[in-house]
This record gives sequence, structure tokens and C-alpha cells, in this order.
Amino acid sequence: MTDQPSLIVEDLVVEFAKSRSLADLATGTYPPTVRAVDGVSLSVRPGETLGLVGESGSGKSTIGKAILGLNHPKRGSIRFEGKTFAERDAHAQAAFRRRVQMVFQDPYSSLNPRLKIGSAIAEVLRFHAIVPETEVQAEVLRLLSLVGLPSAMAERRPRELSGGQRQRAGLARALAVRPSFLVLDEPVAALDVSIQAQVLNLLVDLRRELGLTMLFVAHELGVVRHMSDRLAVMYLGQIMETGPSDAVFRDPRHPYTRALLSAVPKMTTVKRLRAAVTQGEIPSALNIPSGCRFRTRCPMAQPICETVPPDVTVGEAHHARCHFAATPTNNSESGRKR
Amino acid sequence: MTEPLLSIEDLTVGFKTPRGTVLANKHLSLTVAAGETLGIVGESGSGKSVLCRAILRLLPSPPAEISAKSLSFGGRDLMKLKPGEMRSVRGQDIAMVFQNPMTSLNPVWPIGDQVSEGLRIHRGLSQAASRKAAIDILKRVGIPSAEVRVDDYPYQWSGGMMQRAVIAMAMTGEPKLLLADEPTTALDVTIQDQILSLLMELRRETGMAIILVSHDMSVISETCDRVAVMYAGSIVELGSSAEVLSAPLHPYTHGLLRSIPHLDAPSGRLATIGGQPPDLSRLDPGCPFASRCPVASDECRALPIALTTLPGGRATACHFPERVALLDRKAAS
Repeated sequence: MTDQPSLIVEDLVVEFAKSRSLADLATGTYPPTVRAVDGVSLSVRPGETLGLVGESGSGKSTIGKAILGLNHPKRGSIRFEGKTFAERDAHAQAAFRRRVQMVFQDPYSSLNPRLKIGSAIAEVLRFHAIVPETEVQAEVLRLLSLVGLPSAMAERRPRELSGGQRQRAGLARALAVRPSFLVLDEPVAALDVSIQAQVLNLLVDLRRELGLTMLFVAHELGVVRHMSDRLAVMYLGQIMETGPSDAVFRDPRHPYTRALLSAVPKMTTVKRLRAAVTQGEIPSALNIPSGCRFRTRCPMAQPICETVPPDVTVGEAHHARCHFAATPTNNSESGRKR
Repeated sequence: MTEPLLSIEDLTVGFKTPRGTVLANKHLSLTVAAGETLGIVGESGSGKSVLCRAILRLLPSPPAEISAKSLSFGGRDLMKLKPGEMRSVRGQDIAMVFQNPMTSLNPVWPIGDQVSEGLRIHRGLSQAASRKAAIDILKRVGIPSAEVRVDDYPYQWSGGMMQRAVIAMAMTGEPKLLLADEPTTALDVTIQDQILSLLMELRRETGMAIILVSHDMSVISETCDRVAVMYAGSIVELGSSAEVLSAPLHPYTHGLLRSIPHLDAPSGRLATIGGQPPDLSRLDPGCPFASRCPVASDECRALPIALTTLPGGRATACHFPERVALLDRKAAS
């Protein structure tokens, strides 16, 4: 059982279509679709944390939502504990909802502003019949203390809580159904550093105490590094590089990973004189470059990159979608200096 | 030493609220030399943005109540200027770049018109000349095919391009001081990298001074000569950024630095600062950080504290700066 991945995503494609305009109806055409996720495969083993990192528009949150069934993939399969959505009946679906939970970036918009924190958590407990009615209140308090909130918070509403407290409350609500798998979508992006550190520590503790498996979606590399066993780096809907966290950070093989790592400001005593590491902007998802989708910004791009890039294996469980990934460069050290 | 470009002495900004006056800036004193880059770092609510707006006199009063012994820029006291005189300071002497470029640009006006407006007002250029100058300045900040894109509307541009346009607008007045309030916070990391490099290039070319507000210590360390660390409306530490960020003299700076997850650090527990920032409408008489400080003693809670310059030129608002070094030893053992 332990080697069997909890979650297997294969060749996932998620598209978003604009609604048809009057002009489209008149001419019988359809507006272009945006392919937010384009052929992503990944797996997460029990107890493991997979970090999904990338810039805005890379499709990382879309994958998180697809796993929970919050959008409709055009192609590909998502198996949780061996079963896809279609293979689960209503009963199994309810069980799935208890096993997999999502924590959002901004709990202010995911918690009902009119419900007291205690009621918001109790609602989940009652709906899924997690504990008998007589034990609901005690369970609410247990969950609050699990995430480090004083019991008085049960009587507060979301607006009375600080950002860090709200994120803890969102976490308590997700943990109420005793899930085994958490999808965390930018859980600390809205928090100040000192509060971010508190929430990250809490997540590390909970993962150990409850044996949680996690998909950790974030844009900040330091945070992802801190949390993840393995890493998948996304760009324009595809995974560019994936591998054990340490290997990817120590020896990044895709030029995009290297660019990301070099672009992160470092603690230094030397003032910045250099030019930016990458030029240009992320291309529109409506107009994805042929071949390697990073080639328009890549410092190493060659004519061959206009064709489909290969999946190059560069180490144990370490892959990069780049023709030149197998050739180590001195550049691969650039991400290490901090 | 020559006269500083900007000199703030004992600036206090309060906001009247039904719950009492919230002190967003408390007795701040600070100087910026010509051509210098000063970083201001702190968490939400520490008063960084209020300070920038107070310098530009952008805070409406009421509700803001501003007092300062002096707020002098290039020898003129900004507190004593008439509104019309202040308007000519804004944009020409001091320009500002805000965090969110989407809200600093007018959505129903072509970008070129917004960039050239400053040129027409400040430099009295004609319509045609200002358009040409706007294209040049958009090129300078790295907008590709600027002569075509000058007629675009903001929604047609990405966040990074819009921030470039906002920087272009700020540069039109050839300011001596640029206030950049979290200019890269809304941007992706590779775009942040481009914007920071652009700001540093512009500074080298024009010799303007920059006040760069950021919550990110690494951004400050790469770009700033000096840094002011703000907490609960006060500057708690001030000094050269190399010194402050490598050997802090305030427990808050120390805590902030240690709570950042680093790219090359092994995972494990992060150092945290316990508790939360104080309510700015009910500050205790003592040090505002005392309730969260790992080395605070009774004096800290009782005795008021002010930013004090130490021999060597660094300044800290801590009764016991020597205790900060002990924190590292404690962590190591």
C-alpha cells in the first residue's frame, strides 16, 4: 500500500472557453479556448508533499481544483486511491469528499462571513456526521486547539480575525472531516512573513501528527522548498521540471527553473547591477509558442526547440522538458546562493 | 556632510476613528541623501505606506492628523507649502509608484495620454511633442514597439507592462526622489526581477534618490543602501542595509529575518515571532514590540523607547540591543 500513490493524475487537460458572443453566433464560429492545463501527469504518494510551483497563469491552481472535481477536465484521468470520479457512486463520492480537502489562499472569501467560526466548523461535522451531535461542540474546540486557536474564537466571525487566524480557521474547517489528503492553494501568500512562518510550522506539525498527504500549490520558491518532498515546476500549463525538491533546487536542469531561482531576490551585501535574468513576458495562453513553450524567453533556445521538446530524465525521478537538460551548465549553481 | 535631500523630523500621523486615534506613524525621523536608495521594510499595518503618503502630503485631513517638527525637501518645508505649491512638488520633485498598477492607471484613457499628461503639465510640451516624448520614455522603460502600443488601453497590457508604464509616468517629471511603494508585490518573480533591474538602471542614469517600500527583506538587500525597519508605526532600526540585515540590533528585525524560508535551507521548523502586532489605537507606554519580544524585561514594558543612534551610525529602538546577539547563541545551542 505504501508505494501505491494516493493520487495519480495522467495527461490532464483543462480548457476554459469564453462564452459565445453575438458575432460568434452570427458567423457560426466558436471563440478560442484557453488551455490552462495541457497534458499534466503527476503522482503523490501517501505521506508525501508535492510542491506545485509556477507564476500566475501557469495552471497550478487549476490542477488543484481539478483534483477536487471543481472544474471539468477535457481529457486525462485523475485517480484518487485507484478510482476516478466516474468510477465512484454517490456513496463513494461522499467518502472522497471526506478524504480530500482544499485550503484556499484567502480564507476571508472561503469562510461564510455571517457564520461564527464555531458554527462554520460544526456545519461540516454535522453534514458529514463525523461525530454524534452531543460531541459536536467538544470536537469544534478540539479542532480549534489543533490549529492553535483559542476556544474563544468559536464565537467570533471571520471579519474579527486577523489574516493568520482566518487561515487557521480555514484549516480547522478542512481538517474537520479528518481528511488524508490536502490540496493547499497558496495557503500563506496573503500573510506577513512572521505569520507565514507560524502557519507553515503548523502545517509541518499537522502533517506529521495526522500523517497528511499534501499537494502544496504556491508561487514562492522558498516556501515551496520548505514544505515539499518533491517538486513540479509549471509554465503555461505544462510541467517543465519535476523531481525531488533537493535535486531540483541544487541542480535545476530546465532553463525556466534556473530563471525562476535566479530571479528570486537574495539576501546579499552586493547591490544589484545586473540586468534581469529573463526578458519578455509569459506568452498568452491563447497563443502558446510551438515546441517548447519557454523558448520565446529562453536564453539557450535553438531551432530544435520549435519542435516538441523531449522529456529528458536527468536523475532518479528527476525529469526536465528541455533538449539540453542532460548537459549540465555552470548556471545550475545560480539558484544556490542565498 | 551635505544637506540631505529629504529630512523628516518627528513626524506623527494619526487617524481619528470612533475607537480613538490610531497612530500610524509615531515620532519618525529620517533623512534621505541625494541619489541614495533607502529601503523601508515592515509588515502590514506598520505604517510604511502612510509614511510615503505623508511625505507627498496625500493624506486627506480629516481623518488624518499630521504633525512634524520639519518635513524638508531640498531646503523647503513641505508642511508649510500651499496646496498649489505642493502640486508642483508632486511629480516634478517627488514622484510615486504604487503597488497595484491596475488601480494607478485610468482604465478608460489610452496609456500614452496618461504618460504624456505629466509632460504637458510639468514641461509645457505641445500635444505632438508630448506624445513623442511619451513614446521615448515608454521605450526607455522597456515597452516593445512603443510607437504602436502607446495608443493601447491599460486592459490590453500585462501587470508588468502596466507597472513599467506607471514608472514611465513617474519619470516624466525627472524627479529627484522616487517613492516606490511595494512596486513589485503584485508581480510574478521573473517580472519583479525585471522591474527591480529597471529601477536600479534608472537610478544610475538619473541620479535620483529612491525610497523603496517592501515587505521582502531580500528585495531591500539587493537594492538599498540603507534600510529602516518599521513596526507598529515606529522605526525600530535604521542603518546600512548590509549591516542591519546581517547583524540586526533589534529583536524584531532579528525575528523577521529568521522567519523567512530560504531557498537553500533544509526544511524543519521556522523561527516565528509569537503573537500579533499591537492595536495601534491602544499602544502601551513601553516598547511596542515588548509583548512579542523573546528578550523583553519589565523595563521594556514600562519605559518609553525612541530610536537612538549608536556609535558607528546605526540606530535602534531597543533598550537592550546587546541582547539581540544572544538570540543567535541561544538558537545555536
